[in-house]
Amino acid sequence: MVELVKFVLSHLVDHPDQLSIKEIEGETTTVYEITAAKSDLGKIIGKQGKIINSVREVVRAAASKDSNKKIQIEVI
Amino acid sequence: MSNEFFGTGKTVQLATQLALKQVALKDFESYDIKVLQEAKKGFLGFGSKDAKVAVTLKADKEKMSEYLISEIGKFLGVQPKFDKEFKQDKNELKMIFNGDDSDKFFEILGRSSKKLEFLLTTMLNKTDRDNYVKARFNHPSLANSNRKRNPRNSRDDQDKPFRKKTENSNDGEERSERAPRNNQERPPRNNQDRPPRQNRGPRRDKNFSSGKISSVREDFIRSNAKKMAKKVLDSQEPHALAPMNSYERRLVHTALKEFDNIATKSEGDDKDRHIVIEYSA
Repeated sequence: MVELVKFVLSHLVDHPDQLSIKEIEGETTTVYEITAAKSDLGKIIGKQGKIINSVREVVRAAASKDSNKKIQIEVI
Repeated sequence: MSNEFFGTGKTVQLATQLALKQVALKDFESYDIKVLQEAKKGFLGFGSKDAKVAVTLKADKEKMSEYLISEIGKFLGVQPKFDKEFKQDKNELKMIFNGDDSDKFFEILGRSSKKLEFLLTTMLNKTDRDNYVKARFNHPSLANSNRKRNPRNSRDDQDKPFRKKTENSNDGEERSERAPRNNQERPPRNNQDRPPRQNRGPRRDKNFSSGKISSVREDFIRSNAKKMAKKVLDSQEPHALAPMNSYERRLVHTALKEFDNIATKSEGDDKDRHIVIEYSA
C-alpha cells in the first residue's frame, strides 16, 4: 500500500524526491504518515482536503481487498 | 514551473542533453525545447557564451492515463483495459472500461472510483494546465449505481424499518387490521359524489380530533375496537391495537366499556403507546 500512496502522490507533487511515507502498523489500524516538501503540502491536501480525502478513499478501498485493517493517512 | 528544466552547454544540443538528464523521461512524455541563448564563439575564449535552453515537458494525456491506470491496477492486482475517447468540446477524456479485469477493478474500488477519477484528472493536468482534460470513467457498474442510487436508498430507508416493526410485533392480525382502515378512509376521499368543497367547511388535518374527515376515522376506530373486542371474547387471548394518540385511545377505552369481561389498558411509550384488549373473567 505504501507504493500505491507514493505512486499517486508522486504524480501530484513538484518534488517527488522529497516525498516519504512511513508505515506504522498497529493491531487494528495501519497509519501512513506522509512527509513532503513544504511547498508541496498544499498540492497533497488540495482545496478543502479534496485530494487527500480522495487518496484516503482509494487507498482504503484498495487495502480492504487484502485485510480488514483500518487505514489512516496523515500529512505531517 | 515544475515541468521546465534548464541546461547550459557549449552547443544547444549539449545543453538539451544536460537538461534532460535532470528528468527521467517517461514514455508518455515528450518535450519542447526553447533556446534561451544561442552559443557564441568568442575570440580566444573571451566573449564566448554558452547555449542556454529550457526544456518543457509535455505529457500525452491519453497515453498517460493508460500508464496511470495500469500502474494503479498493478497495486490492486488487476489489469483493466479501456478504450479512450476524447471529447474536444468538453475537454473530456472518456475511458470506456471493458473486460473481466475492469469489472474486478471497479468491484474493488466501489464508490471510491469517483475519487480516483478526480485524482486522475489532477494527475493528468499537473504538468500543463493549459490543455485541461477531465478524466471520466465509463463502466456498466457506474451507470447502474448512478441511476438507481437515490430511489433505492429512499425506498429502503422508509420501507424496511416499517416492515420489520410489523413483523416483530405481528400477532397475525395487525396487518389485517390496518388494511381495512385504509379502505374505509380512502374511498370517500376519492369519491366524486362527495359534496363540493365549500359545503364541507374548512379542511382539517386528518389526525385532528374533530371535524368531518376525522369523524370518519373516529367511527372506524370505535367499530374496529368493538370488532377486536369480540375476537378477544372468542379467543380469550389479549390483542394489541396499532399505536394511537391519547384522544383515539380514549375513544377505544370508552367504546369498550360496554363490554363485560373485557379490560383495556395502554402500553408502550410515546409513539408506541397502544391499547391492549384483554379478556378478564
